Amino acid sequence: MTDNHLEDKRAIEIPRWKGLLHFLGIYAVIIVLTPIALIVDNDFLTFKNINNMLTGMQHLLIVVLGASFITYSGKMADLSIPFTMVAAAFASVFFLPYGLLAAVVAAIITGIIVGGINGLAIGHLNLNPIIWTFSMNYVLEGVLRLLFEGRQIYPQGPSLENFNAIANYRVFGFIPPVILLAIVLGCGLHYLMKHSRFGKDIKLTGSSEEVAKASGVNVPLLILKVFVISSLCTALAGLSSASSLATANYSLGNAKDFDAVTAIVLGGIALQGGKGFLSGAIGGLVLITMIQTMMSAIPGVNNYWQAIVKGVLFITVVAANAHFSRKAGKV
Amino acid sequence: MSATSAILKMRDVSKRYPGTLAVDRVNFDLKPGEVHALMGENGAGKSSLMNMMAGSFDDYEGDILIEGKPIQLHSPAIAKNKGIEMIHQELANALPLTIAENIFAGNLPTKAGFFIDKKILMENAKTYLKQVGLNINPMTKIEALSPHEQQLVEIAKALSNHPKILIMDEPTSSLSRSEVGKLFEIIAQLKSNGLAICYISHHIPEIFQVADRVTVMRNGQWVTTDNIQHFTPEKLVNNMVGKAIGKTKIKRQNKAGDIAFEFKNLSRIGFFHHINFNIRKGEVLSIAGLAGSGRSEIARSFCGLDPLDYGYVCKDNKVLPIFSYKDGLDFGLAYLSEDRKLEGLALDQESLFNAMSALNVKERKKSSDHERRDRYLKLAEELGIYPVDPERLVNQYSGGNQQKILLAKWMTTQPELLVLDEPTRGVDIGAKQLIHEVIGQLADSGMSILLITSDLPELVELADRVLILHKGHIVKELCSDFTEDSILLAANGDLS
Repeated sequence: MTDNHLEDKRAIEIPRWKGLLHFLGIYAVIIVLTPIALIVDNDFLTFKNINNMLTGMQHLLIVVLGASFITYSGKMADLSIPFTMVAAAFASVFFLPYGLLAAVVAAIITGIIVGGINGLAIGHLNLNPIIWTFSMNYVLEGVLRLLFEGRQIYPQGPSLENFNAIANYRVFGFIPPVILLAIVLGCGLHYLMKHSRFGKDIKLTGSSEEVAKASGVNVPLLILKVFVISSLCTALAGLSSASSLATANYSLGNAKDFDAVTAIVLGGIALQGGKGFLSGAIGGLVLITMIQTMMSAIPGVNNYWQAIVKGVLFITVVAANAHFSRKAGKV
Repeated sequence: MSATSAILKMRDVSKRYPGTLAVDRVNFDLKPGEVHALMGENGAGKSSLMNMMAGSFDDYEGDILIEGKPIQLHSPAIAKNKGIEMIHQELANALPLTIAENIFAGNLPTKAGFFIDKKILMENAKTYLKQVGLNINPMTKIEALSPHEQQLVEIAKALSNHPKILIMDEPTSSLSRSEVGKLFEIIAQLKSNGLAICYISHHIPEIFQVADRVTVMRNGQWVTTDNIQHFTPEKLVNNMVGKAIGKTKIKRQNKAGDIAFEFKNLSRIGFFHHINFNIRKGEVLSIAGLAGSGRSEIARSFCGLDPLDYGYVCKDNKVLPIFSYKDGLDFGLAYLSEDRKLEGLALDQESLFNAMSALNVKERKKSSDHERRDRYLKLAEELGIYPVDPERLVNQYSGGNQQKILLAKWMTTQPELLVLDEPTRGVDIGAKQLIHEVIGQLADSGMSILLITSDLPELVELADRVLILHKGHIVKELCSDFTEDSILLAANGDLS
């Protein structure tokens, strides 16, 4: 009885506004920030500006959808995202002369191979995900520069028009196809993460690998799958980047790893794993894009400031997260 | 009393934890040149008393006198200063450092106040190593040593502080027989140098080899102190266990069914060897043995959690191909871990999620979230999980409720054989009673239960049959009329 009495004291009634805030999460910040954005930039909510923002974030959106699984599974981040994108871009452009399908399949296979190697190393050999993917990024860069002798390549062949259309066509005249893909992919992946058996196993593994093992989860296999999912998405983003740039170059993935993990953490998928929603990560990306757009609209603010703001934002969120979870006795 | 006066006296000391009185007005004294053994079952208060001596508590009640002078033993630093050193059961050496660096950690001899004086360090280290009979280069890294040698280094480290009192907590738990012999020689040597040694161990035969006097504790209270010559193993066990009062068996229908599983020749080298037994449907079988006898390891291995070197599990005369824990679950086995916090529950997740996490792995087709919720609410009511809030995080529950959620987690998988490893560790008395009743009901429903517990009253209350495990071998089977005494004696390698 004394035991239950203690519980009662600890059960704190959550006020309604806090519940609402908890439900909205990162979107609450977006709602608050929108009027400010309008003051800074009167054109902020114009059709053209929104369209620009969507186009600007479309590749990263696909990356974020996949990379969220890595963070959710407790493996923090994939730092080989930049050159996984580049590798997929080169593969698709290289195989484009054999048709659009060949290009897409080449990108997908590239994603599966890179994700498979990452997943095996991190899941089966239990290597540190940050160190491994960090190194993987450099190895991929070296391999690609060797294979293509350091040159960038350009799409050509009979399917060139279709390839260009991936990023440049507009459904109903205004929706980029990649955004449509992201919506379909996002719904599917959300279901996978939150409502499938696999998703529940990822949540358990992300929360505690030891508990997952002692509950019968095949943790190495699960980690392998997670990395393959992530790299597949990254590869698709590489393909769409190549399409929008009409070239495969070595810098199209620059900083995409950091941007992705910032969006994910900002959106409430904690680095400790097992927490958060895919919709949150998307919100995080929207917020970053908003901030970038706002900053570029302020006269006299250099582009380099954006990097500083993103870096500080990331550190702040991670530190705040760690602070509050320690306070709640979770770490 | 004897001519030599005590160096340490504890008078009416008590230590209170929230909700329990771990040490209850205990008197204890230590004389120079004696080995004084402290005995008792799990939870008897030995560890608390010992930690009190080592200065771990600043809130104990009662008086402690060292060499006749009252002293406030409120921090480990004070204890060290007064010449009290403790050798912990778990070795606390810093592995990548050398022996010498470990011995003089925090107290390294220096040249010109900055550079380490290697020569003096070597010489000093050698003198202390000699005292514990170690003839090894002091520049050897700790990680290159065997557990026994590491322990000797630990003792050398304690000796380097010139202690008057040495507390040894289960010093033989990781040693082989011959190493135990060597350790006892060293203890005899230290004793003849006038050191007072407080010796804690579960191993009763050892006590008769090494101790001069014995103090027995039970339920936090002092029971008796006497010279070892006045004890027999039976008398010692009697004192430790006490009179069984009101401990009745859980009411059971007790219809022993057919054989559910057979375990043949199970071996994991270094842990357990040639384990043969079977378990019937609706039976509560217990594996009893001292900590480190390989109890948990057997269960972990046959379930598929840990490797198994030889042997197999049979059901209906067919060998079950178990290569992973998932296979074990599929064949109707389940293992409830003794470490709730590390392996049992994801503490920062919801109770509903945790309770369904094993089912999620086992079931072929995912049950809907709605079904799961209903199932959980039913179980929560059955087990008395309070408050019944499926979204409440596990770490917001008390230990007793957490243990119930852990039990629920494995009950959902509806195993044919449920292994319960310390099912009531760190649980309040009410929750314990309820868990015992549920275990009885599960067995009555036809489930086989393999109970692994250090809690002897619990074992006697629940088990239908007991296998005694000693150093990785099954040495005895007790089918009926077993008592705490007979189990404890048998687990110590049968002294009668």
